[in-house]
Amino acid sequence: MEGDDQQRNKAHKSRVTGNKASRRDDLKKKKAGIDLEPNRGSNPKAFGGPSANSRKSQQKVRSFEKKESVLHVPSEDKTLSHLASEPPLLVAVVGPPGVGKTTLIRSMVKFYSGRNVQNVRGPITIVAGKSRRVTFLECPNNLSAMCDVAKVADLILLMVDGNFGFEMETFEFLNIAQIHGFPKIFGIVSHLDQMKTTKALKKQKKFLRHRFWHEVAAGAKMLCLSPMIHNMYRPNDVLKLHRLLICVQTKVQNWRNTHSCVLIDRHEDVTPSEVTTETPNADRTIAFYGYVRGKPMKPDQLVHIPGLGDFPITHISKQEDPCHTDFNGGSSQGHKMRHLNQKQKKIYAPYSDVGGVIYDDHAIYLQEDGDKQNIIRSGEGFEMLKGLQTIRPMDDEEQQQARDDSFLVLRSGADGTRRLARRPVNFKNDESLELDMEDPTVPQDSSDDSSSDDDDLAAFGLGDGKDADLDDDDDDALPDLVEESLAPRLPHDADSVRVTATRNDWSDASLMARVKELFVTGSWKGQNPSAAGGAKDVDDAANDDLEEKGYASDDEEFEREIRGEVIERDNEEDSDDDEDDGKDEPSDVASESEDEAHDDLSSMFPKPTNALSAIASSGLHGATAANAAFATKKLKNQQPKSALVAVRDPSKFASGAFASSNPDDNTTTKREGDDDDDFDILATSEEQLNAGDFQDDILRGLVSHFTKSSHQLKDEEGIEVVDHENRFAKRYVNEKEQKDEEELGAAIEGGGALTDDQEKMLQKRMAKKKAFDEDYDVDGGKNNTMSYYHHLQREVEQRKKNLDEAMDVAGEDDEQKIRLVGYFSGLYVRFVIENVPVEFIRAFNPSTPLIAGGLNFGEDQMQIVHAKIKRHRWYPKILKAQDPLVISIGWRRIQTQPIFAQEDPNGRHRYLKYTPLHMHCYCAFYAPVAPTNTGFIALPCPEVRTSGFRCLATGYTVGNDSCTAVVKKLKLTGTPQKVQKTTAFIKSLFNSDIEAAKFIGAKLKTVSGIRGMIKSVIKGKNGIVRCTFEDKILPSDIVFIRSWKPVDPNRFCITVKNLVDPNWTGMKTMRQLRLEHNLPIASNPDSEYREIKRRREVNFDEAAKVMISRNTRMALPFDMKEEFIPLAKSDVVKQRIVAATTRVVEPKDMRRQALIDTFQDKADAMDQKRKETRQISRDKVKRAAEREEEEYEKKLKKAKKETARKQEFRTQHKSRNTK
Amino acid sequence: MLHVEGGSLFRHHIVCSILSKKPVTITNIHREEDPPGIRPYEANFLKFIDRFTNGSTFQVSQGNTQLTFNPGMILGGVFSHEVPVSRSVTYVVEAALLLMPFAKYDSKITFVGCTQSEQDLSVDTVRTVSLRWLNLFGVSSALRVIRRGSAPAGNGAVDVTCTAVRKLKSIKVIERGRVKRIRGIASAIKVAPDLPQRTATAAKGVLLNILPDVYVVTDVDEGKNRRSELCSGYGVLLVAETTGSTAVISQETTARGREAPEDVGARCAHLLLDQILEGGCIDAHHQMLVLLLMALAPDEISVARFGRLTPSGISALVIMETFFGVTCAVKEEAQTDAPGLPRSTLVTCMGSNAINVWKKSS
Repeated sequence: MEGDDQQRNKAHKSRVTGNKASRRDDLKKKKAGIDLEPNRGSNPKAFGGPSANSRKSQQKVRSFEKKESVLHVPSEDKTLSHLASEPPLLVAVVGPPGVGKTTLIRSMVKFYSGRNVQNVRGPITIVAGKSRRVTFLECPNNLSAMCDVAKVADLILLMVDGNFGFEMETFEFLNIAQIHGFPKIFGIVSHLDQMKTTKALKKQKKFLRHRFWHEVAAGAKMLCLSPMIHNMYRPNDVLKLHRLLICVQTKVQNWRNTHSCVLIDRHEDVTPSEVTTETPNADRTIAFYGYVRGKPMKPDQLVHIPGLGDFPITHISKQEDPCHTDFNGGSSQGHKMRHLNQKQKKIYAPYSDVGGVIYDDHAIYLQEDGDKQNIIRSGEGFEMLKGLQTIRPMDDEEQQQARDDSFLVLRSGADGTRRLARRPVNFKNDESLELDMEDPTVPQDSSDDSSSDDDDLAAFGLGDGKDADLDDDDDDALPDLVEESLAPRLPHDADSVRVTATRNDWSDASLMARVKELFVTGSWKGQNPSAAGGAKDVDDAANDDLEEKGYASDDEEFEREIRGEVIERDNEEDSDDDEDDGKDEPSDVASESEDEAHDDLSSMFPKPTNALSAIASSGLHGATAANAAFATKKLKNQQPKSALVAVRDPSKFASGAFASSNPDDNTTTKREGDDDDDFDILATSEEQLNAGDFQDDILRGLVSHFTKSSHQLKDEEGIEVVDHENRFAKRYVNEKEQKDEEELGAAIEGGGALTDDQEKMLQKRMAKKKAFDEDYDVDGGKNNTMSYYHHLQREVEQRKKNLDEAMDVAGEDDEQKIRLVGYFSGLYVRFVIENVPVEFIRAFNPSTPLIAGGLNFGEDQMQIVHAKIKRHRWYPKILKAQDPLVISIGWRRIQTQPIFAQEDPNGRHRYLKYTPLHMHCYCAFYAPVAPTNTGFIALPCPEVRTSGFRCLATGYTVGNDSCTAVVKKLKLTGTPQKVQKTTAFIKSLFNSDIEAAKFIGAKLKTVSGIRGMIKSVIKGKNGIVRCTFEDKILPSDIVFIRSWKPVDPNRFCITVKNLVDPNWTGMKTMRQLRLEHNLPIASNPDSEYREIKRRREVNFDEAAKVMISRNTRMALPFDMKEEFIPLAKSDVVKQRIVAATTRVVEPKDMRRQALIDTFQDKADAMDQKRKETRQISRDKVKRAAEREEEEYEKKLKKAKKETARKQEFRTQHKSRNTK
Repeated sequence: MLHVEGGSLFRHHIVCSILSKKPVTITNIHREEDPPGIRPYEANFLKFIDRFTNGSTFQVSQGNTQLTFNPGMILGGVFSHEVPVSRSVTYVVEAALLLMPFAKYDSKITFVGCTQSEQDLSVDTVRTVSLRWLNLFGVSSALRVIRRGSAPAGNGAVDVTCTAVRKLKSIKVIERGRVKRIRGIASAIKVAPDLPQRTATAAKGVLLNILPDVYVVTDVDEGKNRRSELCSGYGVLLVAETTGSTAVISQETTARGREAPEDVGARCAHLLLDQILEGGCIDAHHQMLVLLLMALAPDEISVARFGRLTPSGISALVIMETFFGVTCAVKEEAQTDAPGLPRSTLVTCMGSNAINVWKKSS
């Protein structure tokens, strides 16, 4: 028993109830095909999805939201930074005074260039790496400079004194930056070594970091600097900062994306010296230098220099980059450059004292015994410097020259003025896109009459009756034609665009056939051409079809011609092109090539091509075709490449279609033997494809032919062949595409090597597939947002690609690119501005940042700008309407007088005297047009260093207009002069008849609420009007009209001119003026409040008391009914009865009554006295009892205390005793 | 202050002046003609501009041959405008189409006048083709023909509606493709209904030679309540659509005096074939419109393939440069590999980024 018997375990009992069991059951049922929820389809409500409030769905929503919040509308970088080297990264160092800004810049400059810069004045540009240049700019401590810096900087190093903590300047700057696009901001904390303890240091660091994160962004970079050595920050810290700088990506900002700007790092007064000597105060002409940033800059653009004003650019030119980073020439040894050598570590700081060179507003000073090595070693730089000194502004001739050299100029008149009349534009050649500007050639007879007169057309250059030789030698003929056809419209042309004259002779069937072949889609093969047409389909197969259906061609000659069987005609055409109009009778392509095949090629190697074309045209079936193809291929391998001759794309024999507009597949003409004149007709001027392409073409033709013949197999032999090619081919509208696809498929199946074209096609296909996948398959095709997002992204990419393509056409030449798009970012330019006030030169301070922002069209137009504004929550006051306010908007800093308004629920904008405390309100001010959604910030005007916060208000524009919709309430009051029934004559409402006449029909209201209307004016009575009311008004009523008066802001706007006068104040507020001149507040005595003296009025309450009968009261509507209406006779009647029955008191009774009253009074007085004494005695007793009680309490307390003390004492003693 | 000469581009100079916000002086307006000076229809156009804008000022001098124009803000809105019968209403509509997208309000303007004339495009062309181009630039617009009218009485009416946009879109119209279908409208006013029928048949007769998908509808305005008005006329419009999704080529003819309707139809068909042969994606009539819209497009690259540039196309290039500072790269390309064909012109430019500053942000 022990050995054999196996251990018997308990058998497994599968569950019959519970989750597991039911799940298993479900599975079983599912496998068996039983519907688990049989009613699902019929009752959708019962089987609705999970509720929206369930935890799971909430989680889902949250996760979606998280995903979505990451997405942003893809923004396109319009700065073209990928075209040229980027402009130097503009790093602005901002902070309150004494925080170590200069020291930081000096340390950085020392780190990069190894040079000590004693004083930092103006921007310093250095080469920081192989592809990175950095411009350091120190922001002076004033609000206007902060504004300018915030508008241009790519990166801001916000310095904070760690020991002191944040200062107002920091927050002011942050607010300004937020308004102007919020560039990247790094926090830098200095002076931390002055903290006493490590704990305090840690705490301070934490505080600073968190506050900084709160203001900028969570996790924003913040760097704490170690103590200085030798008056510089430690190399370690600088290196850290460098690593951050190197990899920083600039933000794409909306304003910067749509506007160009230049940070001016150098300027030169180029006013002719005779002018300055004669009139020292004359306006100056100044040349500015700097890197273009943002959108490309156009030559005829307006620029705004904040602090100076708007100026048109007189002249702009590209200059050599003082800090170029293209080091390819330097390291030609072949190995990759690892680091910059000393020579490449350039520094460019014209206003600072770098390398013994100081640029002043008057001259450049070279210090001979300065940093000697720098000058001598960098001989190139020295030369450049010398060159720069000699540069003068271009005069007109030079400018003209520069323009002539350009690749496409639609030039203004020779005298420089912009005139539009009579300047023909000619193309020099196709490759360079160059236009050749010649003297105008004016067509003689250009009449209004647009008849189909040939001369007329010739005058336009549109008719080409004389261009017959064009085909023959295009190189010569083309310019002529172009010159004529491109003549611009004359000033006295008829102003119409209709083309009314036929250019070609369309009665010629061959021309028509050609159009059909070249321009008409070939997808109509199987369709039934209308009986009206003379021409029929070209294709053989289609033709067969037609014949089967009974649509035999009735124009056999034409058809034969199309098929290329009429050879003589084409020969004719080819040979006598000179007399014939080449364009009027372009030959049929098929016949042409056939012609070639027979005529021209036969002389060289007649057989292969002939065989090929024969196959193609006759449409043999598969086997033969294959053989022939093989033969051709072999032959092709044998024949030398150079001897190859043109054959038109053979594919068209098969398909009847011609290559579409795809430029890659353009042209298949090939010619080697130049001696053969006839070939010139076919040879296009520019495209000379190589022999390989030609081979591909033949191959392509063959492949497509194969497909055709396989199709035919079915017809002839009755074998069911699944025609894959044709089935899929239906997808393709374009015949050529279809053909290519077929051919590609064949190539892939065949496993052979793909040709270039096929590979391209394959790639195209893959790209298409990818695009499709992206469109439909992202997240299982469910997430629509993502696909939309991808769609947006692709759009941006496509636009970028378009630009790149356009730029590729321009090639390497910067000048051409500049012509097309303007001076794009990264170029170092010099631009000249005229009429700059001389004070600019005199007051020039290099440490004030100087920028020039480009203005788009119309942004110099003065209009009323509508905006939303909110008082800054930290500014202690509210703003008053019409007070002058300095606003930093766009590039500008302007002073203007805004008015404020609030939108009522009915859409009316009501004038506000002051801004609301904590709300946005509408505001309108007179200013240059700003695009909508441009942010602005209001600043105090005389910029004093106060302890308070200095940003007054922030806002954004919502539109521009020539007027405003802001209104304020105006109440006109009048009094009745004479009241008739419902008509009254109202006086003192208006002062004159004319004024009153404007108000006819206006609505009136009296104080008592009676409404009325002005009916007419009583003439000659100084504005008395006749009005009607809904009820009779009282003569004492006041009548008023409620009206709204539109308010426009004052048309006052000036640019802040702090570059001309550093202490510029502009317009002052009334308050300031009153303070300065010690004037009291002006008061209008009429507006003073006085005691209101009312006339004695009739008591309306009394007078208006109405008696209503009980029955009426009962019949009143419910809400007017009294709560209780007594059953009895009404009080009124009772009162009347009482009144009617009251007896007059007699004197005797009166005396008696008086006596009784006296006694009663005495009795009352005695009663009172008795009461008082009783009260007193009662109080006495009560007080005594209280005292006794108190005494008792006291004693009780004392006794308790005593007992407690004793007990304590006893217990202590007890414990001592026990011890 | 820009200075231009001559009256031939009168409308476009004014319109571009408004769009670029640059004042302009036009001199020598029809100076050598008799009578010299601004034509009545031009004055009427100025009237329209006055209506359509706010704050524009005109100053005419030198015996009506010189005009100083100061542009104002573009207002748009709803109103009706009557155009003299010497020109078709499209004379104004064409120019107005450039302004409407940049107006403060959406526009709905009723134009009263001739709906077809020898010089200008007919309203059908504007409706089917011009607005299609405008649509490609991201502007939705529509034209509704209320009634037709021809000189001398005119009295046709069309409604043009157009939304105001913040900015246009850039375009890329390169693929010409092949003509896949031709559609047409043979319209007539107060003539025997067989005339447009015959015109359409004739046009079809020519075009069916090259493709079968030709369809021409006839639209006859009987002018029932206008017995006494002399406003009869007829014409035909043909529009060729190609496999390139964007390319549209149109041509129209209006019947001249004592011309057989068959001739009118055939003439139109032949002209259309001319246009097709030219090879651009844009027909000769719309070169100016498309080029100017390209100049107004945002600062992205716009590319369009034209046939041969017409004088008005060249003028558009000049205007683009003068008013908007937009320089075009113009490249001639062979359109197919077929020799002897006119070469198409590829025009590439970067738009001036015209932004509608008047439209309020919502």
